[in-house]
Order: sequence, then C-alpha cells, then structure tokens
Amino acid sequence: MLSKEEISRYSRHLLLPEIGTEGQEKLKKAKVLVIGAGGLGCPVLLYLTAVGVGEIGIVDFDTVDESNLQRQILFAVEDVGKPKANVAADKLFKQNPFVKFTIHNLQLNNQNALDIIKNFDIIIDGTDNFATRYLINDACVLLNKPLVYGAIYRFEGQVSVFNFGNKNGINPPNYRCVFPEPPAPEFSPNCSEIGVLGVLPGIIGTLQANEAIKLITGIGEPLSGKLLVINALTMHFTTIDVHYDKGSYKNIPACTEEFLKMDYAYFCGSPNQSDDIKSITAGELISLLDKKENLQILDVRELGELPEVTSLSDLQIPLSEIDAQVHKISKEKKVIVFCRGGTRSKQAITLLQKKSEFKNLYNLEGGVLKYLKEFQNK
Amino acid sequence: MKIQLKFFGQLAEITGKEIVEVDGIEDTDSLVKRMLNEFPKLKSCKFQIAVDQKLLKQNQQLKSVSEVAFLPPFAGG
Repeated sequence: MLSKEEISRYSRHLLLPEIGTEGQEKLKKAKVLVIGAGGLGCPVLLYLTAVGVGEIGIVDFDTVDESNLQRQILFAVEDVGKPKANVAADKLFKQNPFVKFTIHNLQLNNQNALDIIKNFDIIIDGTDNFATRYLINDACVLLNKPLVYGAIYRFEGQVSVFNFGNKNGINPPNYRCVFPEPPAPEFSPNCSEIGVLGVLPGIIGTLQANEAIKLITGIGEPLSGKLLVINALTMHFTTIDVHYDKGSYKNIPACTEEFLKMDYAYFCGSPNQSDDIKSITAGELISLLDKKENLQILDVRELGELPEVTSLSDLQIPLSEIDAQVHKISKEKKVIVFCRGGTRSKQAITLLQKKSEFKNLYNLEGGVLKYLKEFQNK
Repeated sequence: MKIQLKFFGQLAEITGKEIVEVDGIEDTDSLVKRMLNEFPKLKSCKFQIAVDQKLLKQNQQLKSVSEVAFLPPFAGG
C-alpha cells in the first residue's frame, strides 16, 4: 500500500494508466541490485531511487577519484577519497527516503556473489571489466535472475536484457550467447586508459534504468533478445537480434560448487593473476633512484597524460604503440614499467614478455600515483 | 550486390572507418578472412558478426544481404 506522501510523490506515475497504483506498488516491492556505482551506476541509481524502487543494493569497493567527477554525477569534490557505495547511498536517501538501501562495500567475486545476488529480483551490471561481467552473468544464470546489461567504449554503448523471459519454451539469451569469450586483457582497455565521453554513461545508464522499470512493472517490450548499440557521435542506434545459444552454456558453471571454483580473472586472462610479472614498490624504486642504479624507466601512459613526473621521464611509449617501438626498450638494464595506476604497465609487461621474451621488466605497483605519494612522504 | 560493413568500437579504430563497402563476397567466412587479411590487427580482437541485424553463429551466404556488422564486446562502465 502506498502512503499519502507516496501517492503525492509518485503522482505523475499514478497518472499513467500503464503504471498507475498497481505499477507503483510493484516498484515499491521490487529489490534491485546495482553492481558498480560508477559512470553507469550513478544514473541507474538516481532514476531507480527517484521512481521509488523499494530496495536498492549498491555494490562498489572503490573510492571517489577526482577523475570520476567528469561523468559520475552522484559525486562532488567533497566526496573525493570516500567510498562510493556509502556516498551514493547517503545522497540517494536524501532524494527519496522511501527507498531502503543496502550497501555492499566490497569487490564482487565468486565467493560472495551468489549470497548477495540471491536477495534481489533484478541485477544491473554497471561494472568496468570483463571478469566481473562474466561472473555476474553466470551468477544470474545460476540463480535465474534477469540481468540488465550496459557497457561503454569511448563514444559507443551497448544495452541489453539477459536471462529474462521464456518465449515458447526457448531459454532467453544470456551475455555468453552474445559474447562467448572476452578479448585478451591487452585489447580490453577501460575508461581510465582510453577515455570516455562524459554524457555517454548517462545515456546508457538511463536506458538500463528504463529497462529495469519495464521489467518490474511488466510494461512495454524489454530489450531481451536484442542488443542495442548506440554511437553518440553519429547518433546511430542499431538493434541486433540475439538468440539463446546452447553452446554458451559450456562455460557457465552448472552448480554452486562449480561457480565457487571458477577463476574469472584467469578466464579473462587478467594480468593481475599471473605470477610471472615481477614488481617493484614505489619505496623500492625511490631507493634505487637514490643509489643511482642504472635503470631504464618506461612510461606507458598516453602522451601528455598527467601527472607529469620529471624524475621518471626516461622513455615514454604509450601502451598502444609498444609493439612498434619495442626496439627502444633495453634488454640488459632493469626496466621499470609504469602507468597511472599500475594496470596498463602490467598489460605492457605481459605483451612484451609474451612477444619479445623480455626478462628484465618490473611493474611499478600502484603506478605514478603511488610513487608521488611516497615521494612526498619521503 | 554491394554490402555495407559496419565496424564498432575498437574495430572501427583499426579499419579507420565505421563503414566499408564490399562487393562479390560469397559468404561470411570469406568476408571475415578478407577483413583479417586487409586489417591484420583485427586478428587480436574478439568480435561477433551480425548479418542484417541478426547475430550470426555460423557461416552464411551473403546473397541478398545488405549489411554486416562487426561487434566487439565493451567492458567500460
């Protein structure tokens, strides 16, 4: 039952015959899990809160970074450094105190995913990496939960609804029916590496919220069996028909036990999991530099990327050009490879070790950001 | 008959254009082969093919087809 305040708050919904009191009560009863409170998560959360979804779970392990503010519209300057899930819940509660928020300040993994996801009716994927996307998909297939998918790349985005509905006894498609395998990590850069148009996650996230509302209220035609692809520069909207593919199930764990044993980082070839990358901490590098060790320091960030660090300006080859300029990298000296946060440098090392058999490469842990912090504390 | 090829995401960055027109290709397998030949960097990408807006899982004749889309997965969020 809607209270007097809720009837007044949701009056514009109640006026729509397609939603009305019945639809609004469905929204109130619904429990939606939003995984990732970033570019996609922010608009999803704002709209689901505003329209009165009864319970919203927020999963995010990260803290707000200054570079998030260009597109992650829930956060302000004062939030930098604070946990995203908590900041988001605080702000959203102010927008709509009728919504109950559950905060999951953690990184979703195969050990905790099922326990969290099982408590919700609809799952929204707003994550930024393939390993978590495959993990969420598989968990949703196992638990039979509809998944609202959204993903972005620079100026383009994709939206779909997976694992929902059952047309004439045919299973609905899931993420693996469309994309059975992830690309190699060196070919799957994220927004922090290649940039993204600020408004793009706003467009895609808002479409995800729209799909969730349609699923909850049962109105319209959800994007199940369809992949919507949008180009924000040309404003071309393309809808691709996708189908259930039996073959996609060969990689999906068949039961909870199998799911708990899955290594999604390995499946996606994540360099985080590979043991053969040597690393060096910021402190160790500083002491090597103090000792004037004969090092080569390789910056794999894009040209002109900030912060500029004169003490580390030795050799710069952007990750995308490593292949073409590999001859500039020493095979004798100790080579310290760095980027902003330590991810691209790992990819560069993986690539160099695989293709050119380097054995003298060290990844600077935490990248230039960690280095600068250590340097200031010195 | 001319077929319009549409490249998305990183794939368009590799081909240098979002739309390429081709002619006289029999089926999707030979089309992919030709594209990998023409743009070898595509070999390191994972992509799916949609023929006239339908995702494809096996080889298909291109007779009376007007459009083939090359779709990579996106990770960003």
